[in-house]
Amino acid sequence: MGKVVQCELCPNGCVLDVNQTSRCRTRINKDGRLYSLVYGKPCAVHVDPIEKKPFFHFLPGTKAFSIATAGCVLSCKFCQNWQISQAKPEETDTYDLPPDKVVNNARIYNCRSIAYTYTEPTAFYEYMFDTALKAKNSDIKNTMHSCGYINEKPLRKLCKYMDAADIDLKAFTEDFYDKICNGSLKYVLNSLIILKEEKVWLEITNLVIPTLNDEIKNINEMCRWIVKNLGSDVPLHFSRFFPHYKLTNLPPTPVETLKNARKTAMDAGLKFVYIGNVRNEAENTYCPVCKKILIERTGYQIIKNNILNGKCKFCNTSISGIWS
Amino acid sequence: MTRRDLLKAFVFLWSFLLLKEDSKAEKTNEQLHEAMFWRRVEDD
Repeated sequence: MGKVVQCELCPNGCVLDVNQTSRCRTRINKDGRLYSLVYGKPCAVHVDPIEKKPFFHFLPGTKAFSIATAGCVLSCKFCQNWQISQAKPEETDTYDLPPDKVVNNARIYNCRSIAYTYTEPTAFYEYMFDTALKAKNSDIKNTMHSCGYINEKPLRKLCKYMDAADIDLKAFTEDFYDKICNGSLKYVLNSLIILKEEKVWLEITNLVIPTLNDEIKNINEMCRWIVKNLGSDVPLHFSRFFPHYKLTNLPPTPVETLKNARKTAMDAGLKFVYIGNVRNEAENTYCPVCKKILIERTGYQIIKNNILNGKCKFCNTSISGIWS
Repeated sequence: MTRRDLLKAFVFLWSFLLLKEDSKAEKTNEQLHEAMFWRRVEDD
């Protein structure tokens, strides 16, 4: 009796009896105390270009030491990493990599940053937090790709050590979050505002899924919300959907849909709008004033960088981002 | 080898196996790391 605990990390707020595990699968109530099951035990460890996260305005052309453990706070039907995000920790093969080893490896592999990515970093919060703290002390930057489904207190605490965040804004309706992700949009919007307030460099990714979140009306509403609440300088990445996990019945997103979404976003006032998962000219960064190519990309590769000291080389306009 | 010797060997092996199990259990607990944001429900 009296050993029931509640996890206060994310809006799921799991209430757990002894030996029960959380919805994210990474927390367990052991004798009335809550423990992480994945601390120092990543199941994915890679050296990636920072562009893969995707970050297009954060140290372009550098490498990110990228880690993930099993688990996720949501259960999106389209998840591209479902084999690990929807797995229990014991179902994955793991490395023994405590925070100091992550930082050492980042240095050995010449990575300017560590990326907490692939699955949902909130599910391995303690591991991420301790690693981020050690990285900060070693002059290595911290980035995360997250769904933003986290409570305010832990997010603000993390922001002290987080340099950049790419948040998946999966759609702009509560209905989508409820039916497709088993979550709620309002918490994600709140996290975006907090990240902005805490001055963490922010980029947003929106996976456009045919028939589910590709209505121009909703995309327009989402972009106007971003401009109003986060500013017109926040880069937005529209990403092409490919059939995965429980949505194999849907086709890949038509490129035309992505182009329409990009046009809508730019008409709404966003200055930096990209299309991902497709080779096209919308992978480049253009100067919002003189319209010349600032960063030319092919996939994750940088072909040319015309940003000098954070400014357009041609017209001297300041370009938002972290460039060095 | 007498029956007594066999019994001794059996007891030795059994204790060895028990000890091994115990160290495994300790290792599992060591791997757990206390979470940062949680509360006891009866605190309300």
